[in-house]
Amino acid sequence: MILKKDRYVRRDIISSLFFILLGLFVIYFSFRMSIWKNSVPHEGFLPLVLGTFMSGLGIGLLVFSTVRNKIKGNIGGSSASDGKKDLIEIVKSQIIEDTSSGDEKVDLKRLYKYLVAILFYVILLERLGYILTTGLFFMAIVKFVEKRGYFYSLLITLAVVSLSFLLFGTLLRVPLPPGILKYLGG
Amino acid sequence: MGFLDNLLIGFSISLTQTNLLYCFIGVFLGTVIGVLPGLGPTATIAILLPATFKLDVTSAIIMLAGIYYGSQYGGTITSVLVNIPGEAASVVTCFDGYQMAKKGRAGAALGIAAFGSFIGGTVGIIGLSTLAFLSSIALSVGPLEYTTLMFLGCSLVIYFSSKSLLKGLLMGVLGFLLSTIGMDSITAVERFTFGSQSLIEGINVAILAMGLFGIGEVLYLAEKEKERERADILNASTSFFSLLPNRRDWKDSSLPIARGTLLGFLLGILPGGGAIIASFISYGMEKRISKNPEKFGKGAIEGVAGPETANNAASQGAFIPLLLLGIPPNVVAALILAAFMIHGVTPGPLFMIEKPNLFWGIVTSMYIGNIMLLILNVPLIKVFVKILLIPYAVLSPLILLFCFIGAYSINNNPMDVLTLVIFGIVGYLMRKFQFEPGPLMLTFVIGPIFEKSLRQAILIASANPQIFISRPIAIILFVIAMYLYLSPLIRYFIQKYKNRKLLFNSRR
Repeated sequence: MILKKDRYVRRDIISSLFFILLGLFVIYFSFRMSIWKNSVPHEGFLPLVLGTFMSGLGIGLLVFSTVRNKIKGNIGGSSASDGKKDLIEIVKSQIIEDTSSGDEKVDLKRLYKYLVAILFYVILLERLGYILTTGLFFMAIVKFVEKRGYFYSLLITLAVVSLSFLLFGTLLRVPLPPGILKYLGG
Repeated sequence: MGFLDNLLIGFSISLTQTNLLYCFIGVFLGTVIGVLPGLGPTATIAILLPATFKLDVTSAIIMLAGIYYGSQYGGTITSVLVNIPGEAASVVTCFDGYQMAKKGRAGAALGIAAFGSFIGGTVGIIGLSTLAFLSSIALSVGPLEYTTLMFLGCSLVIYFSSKSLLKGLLMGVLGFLLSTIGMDSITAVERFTFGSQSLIEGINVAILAMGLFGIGEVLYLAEKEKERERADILNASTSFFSLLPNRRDWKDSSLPIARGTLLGFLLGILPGGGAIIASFISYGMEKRISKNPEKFGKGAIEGVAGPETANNAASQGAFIPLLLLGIPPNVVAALILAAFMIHGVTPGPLFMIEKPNLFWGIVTSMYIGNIMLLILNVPLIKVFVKILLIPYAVLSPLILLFCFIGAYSINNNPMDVLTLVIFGIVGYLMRKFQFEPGPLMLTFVIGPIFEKSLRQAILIASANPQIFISRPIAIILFVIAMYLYLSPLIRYFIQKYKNRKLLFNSRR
């Protein structure tokens, strides 16, 4: 199976289906708004146009990603395949080279750990307060996710918590949530 | 009021203690993030957007602009010394800058880059100051031309900044779509709010930007198996510093600097151009013009001087369409436009007339910022390089923390932090699925202006269809934009036709 071999093609197919559905969803809700009255476009006009474009482009992406192997040179990418690349193509290919995700090996465990830490930060921020939550968050990331030493992690955590509180809480007067520490202050 | 009077007013604003401080903070931060690979001006400005809420609009824009042009300086340092472009516009500097460093000429490379950047940047600002009269021409632009101009601008950005045109277009459409969420500014009808009170005002630009560029980038970096071991390379190459280029260096670099200035400035003005493309084209041009093209890639100073000048001139040139037309020519400029809009100011043809103090204050701060950058960069390069020693293990949670605080500070609402995280995950997925978040951000920012202008244009055109004949500029701009989208298909079919013809001839 060609599709299974190319994970980028598979991703393109998934994303194209997502955009087709999103476009259809937008079209449906656009029709529930006023689109055109007395030669004047109304609030539903632009969403309708955009939804139509989105579905159309999604179909385009689906078609191009499934027949990509047949077409030499990706549409819109560095499509010059005859060796006569013009300057713009060179520029684009250079930028692509710089920003492409490449095929580097990935550490999904670390990503999941980051996501869990972020989730806990969001949940605990109001309850525990800025200082405690940020302290726990930093310690968790530096020590347990990035696997640095205890002393190093503690030092970094203390420095970040105190300096960020000083900068945002005191100097910039951002009302950071006190959480349970407000009971200590009376 | 004459040009000099305007400049004097501008300097009286930009030279106040507060604005000088924010200008310094901007250029300093710009240099720092320019040095750090993985953290560009887009992410930094996105992260700092909420911090500007409480600032005066002049100070806020002075700081954000400083980050933008300051990052072009900082990116050079790591390109030359450790062959790691801190910023995308400095990729080409690696080609010859690093080779020069290997030959013990790091000082000359960094010196000429700093001076070239200063010259390019300063000439760019002079261009911006003198071209301010264009606002009177821009005033005669009607909604029809304005809409197509914005459409062309977005199209150029999508065309140049996206790996795949289709994906870039999808991102552009999605950005426009997200901008329609909330109350319609003309009919006051809610769109896509689904009864949520918090969506009535639409999606907050700062939260979206921080999520896509800040959190999204950190999550994307988090899954990388090996972070770069930078410390070893760093220690090996910081031994030699003599930053003043010699007479021969100046002789070899003077023309590339002049060409880079002009090219960068012009490309900066054009939507979709910007610093990255300016530096690549400048490098290509210098190599093509050079009598010794074989020297390029082996340590030619022209390969450093031209692109470095061009990227700085381009970052200054980008302020012309932004300030005079209200059209951001790239994503960073779109975020600066968002900062303007957060403060209730909309740049455009009337901006210079209605808010001359703000306009000239920002323009003159750039002269000061460039001098600050030259002073900062030449003697303090060694200090900035040390920033590279900050490991991702600390940098990543730090970026996350700034984003959290930024999102929370908008309404003191933890729900905003959750929204930020959701956009962060979306940003990560976009990178995984190879979608660039840049076009989305650009169209999201200009979406409301575009929609208003489009509806006005349709109203005018439906009342008087002959307007397309009497005002053909709109059609020309539209045709150019459509050509951009169709050009890959046209090229494909031409190629197919040629191949078929070749096959047919060979069979005969």
